[in-house]
Amino acid sequence: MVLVEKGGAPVMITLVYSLTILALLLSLVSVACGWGKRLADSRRAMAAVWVVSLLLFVADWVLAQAPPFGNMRHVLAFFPLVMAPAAFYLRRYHGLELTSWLAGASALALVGALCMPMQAAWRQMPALQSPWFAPHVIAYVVAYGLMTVAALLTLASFSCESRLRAADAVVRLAFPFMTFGLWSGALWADAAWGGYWAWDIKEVWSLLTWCLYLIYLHVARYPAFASWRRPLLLLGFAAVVITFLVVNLLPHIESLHSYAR
Amino acid sequence: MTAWFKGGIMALGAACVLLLAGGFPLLGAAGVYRGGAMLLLGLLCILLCLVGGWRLVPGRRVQLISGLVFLFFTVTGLAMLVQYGTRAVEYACIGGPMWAGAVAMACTAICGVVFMGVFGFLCCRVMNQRILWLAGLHWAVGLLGLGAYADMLWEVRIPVALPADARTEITELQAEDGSRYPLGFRLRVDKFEVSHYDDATYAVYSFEQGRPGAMHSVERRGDMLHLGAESWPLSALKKAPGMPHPFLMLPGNPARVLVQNPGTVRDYCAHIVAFTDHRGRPETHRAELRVNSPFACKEWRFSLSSYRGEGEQAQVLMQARRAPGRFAALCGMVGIMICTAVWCWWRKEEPRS
Repeated sequence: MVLVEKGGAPVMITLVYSLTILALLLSLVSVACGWGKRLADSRRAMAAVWVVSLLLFVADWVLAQAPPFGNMRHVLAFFPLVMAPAAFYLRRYHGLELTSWLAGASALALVGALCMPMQAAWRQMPALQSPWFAPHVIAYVVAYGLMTVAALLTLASFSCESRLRAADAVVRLAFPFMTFGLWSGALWADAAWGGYWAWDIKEVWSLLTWCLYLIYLHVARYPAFASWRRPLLLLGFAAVVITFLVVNLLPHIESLHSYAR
Repeated sequence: MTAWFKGGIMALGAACVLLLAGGFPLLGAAGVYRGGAMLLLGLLCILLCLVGGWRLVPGRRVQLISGLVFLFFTVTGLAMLVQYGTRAVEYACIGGPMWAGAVAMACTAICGVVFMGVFGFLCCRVMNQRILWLAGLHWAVGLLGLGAYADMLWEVRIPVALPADARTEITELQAEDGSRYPLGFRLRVDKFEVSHYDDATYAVYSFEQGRPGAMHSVERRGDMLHLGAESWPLSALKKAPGMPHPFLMLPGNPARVLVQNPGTVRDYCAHIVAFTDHRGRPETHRAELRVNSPFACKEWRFSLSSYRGEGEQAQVLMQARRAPGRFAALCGMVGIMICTAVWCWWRKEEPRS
């Protein structure tokens, strides 16, 4: 991937920054409303976050002249777009009111997006021009976003036991996305690099993360292992952080996935 | 469950067996079913599948869908075995010893029966919707592990560099340890194309007494190139044989040349041709080899890795790979994705005591 530094599209860059800040503020409003037990307002603010994030996604696409999944900022800015539907799904089908939690996770991602350097456009290298590209990245964004929420709920469950059940529901929703992300990446690598597994550091950490959540889902079926659930969820999230942030941002790490920085 | 629906499932099972076993006319049904014994074996497998299908779909919708999935896997597995068996018979008929065909056929029959028995037993045991998909996930992980283990033992990966001159052909590959692997066909690269993004840069290089001197970046504004007070139209740059990029010789002393440095690579593509023979008849396969579009011929897969140079002097860098466990591993991955999704999303499990 070749990055074209800013300078060519100042209006769009300003717009992207403005939309990111607006989405962040609305996410914080949603969190505040949720904590103040004004749940309807929290949901309205989350809906507004989703609309602003959609505009941000379009602006990013126009600026990048390609699907905006080329760097960490793109991916982090995409998080809120999947959090609102997840909140709706969990409320509608699991009876869990987690809007403010998901808004909190969105706010974290948007803060991260604001900290990343702005890159006006990116040139998709040949390996990234694949039909697997967008589904692979989107699946991981959904999975990591929801696992963040699950980790927050796990921390909160020390004071309220019912939140652990909510975390379990969120992990069950997220895990198939993570599975798809991992194995679709392997299928993509088989076509692009001539091998479905290369023991690359990113691949290894992704597999480790997947295994931790898989162990959690096995363990969660047995009440005898109830005490394992919180440590496994937190360990799994730590692995998510390492896979997503540390492996990408740590300098001097040679990786086949280095274009994702 | 109506009788016609069960009948439809049975017909589907039979069609799957026939199609996957090579019974489809385009795949040479006459050749495949040359031996009456193999036909008998095929019919026996169909019968076993249909009985299995009948037993696995008694009533409830969940069990019906699950049963169909297992039926499909069973049918596919059996079909593969029958296909390998028929190839063995074919080999015996073409010129190989008859006993080899008979042994292969017997092995196929035994494998088929064992496969069916084991699978049928497991299906009966796990036909409980609570753990069915979890069991499927374990099977898929096992399949993936099996494929990966087979690849670890027997996979061959060899880097290949082939000039894109439409003349150089390869018929065998040499690994880094010196061992040679015959391809079983001939391969050559007819043409190699590279496309770039529109972000080319321009520079003026000066030469003093034949040695390269200073370099100055040139700014592009529309169709004009500017360097200080000087400017040139973009169209003045020309290509020439032996020069990799468009250039313009500038008048004056010292000698200067304006060169277009190519933009970021958008895509590259090698037009390859493979010459094979099918039962003594020569065949030609043409394909465009791209980064995400490997080329497969016989048991080898060629992936485009990179290139050196451009035009007729280009060297296409590929990776040839022979991976006997690849198919099983990929099936395992797909199985994992499907089973995980259904297991996690279908319904909430009751906790176990």
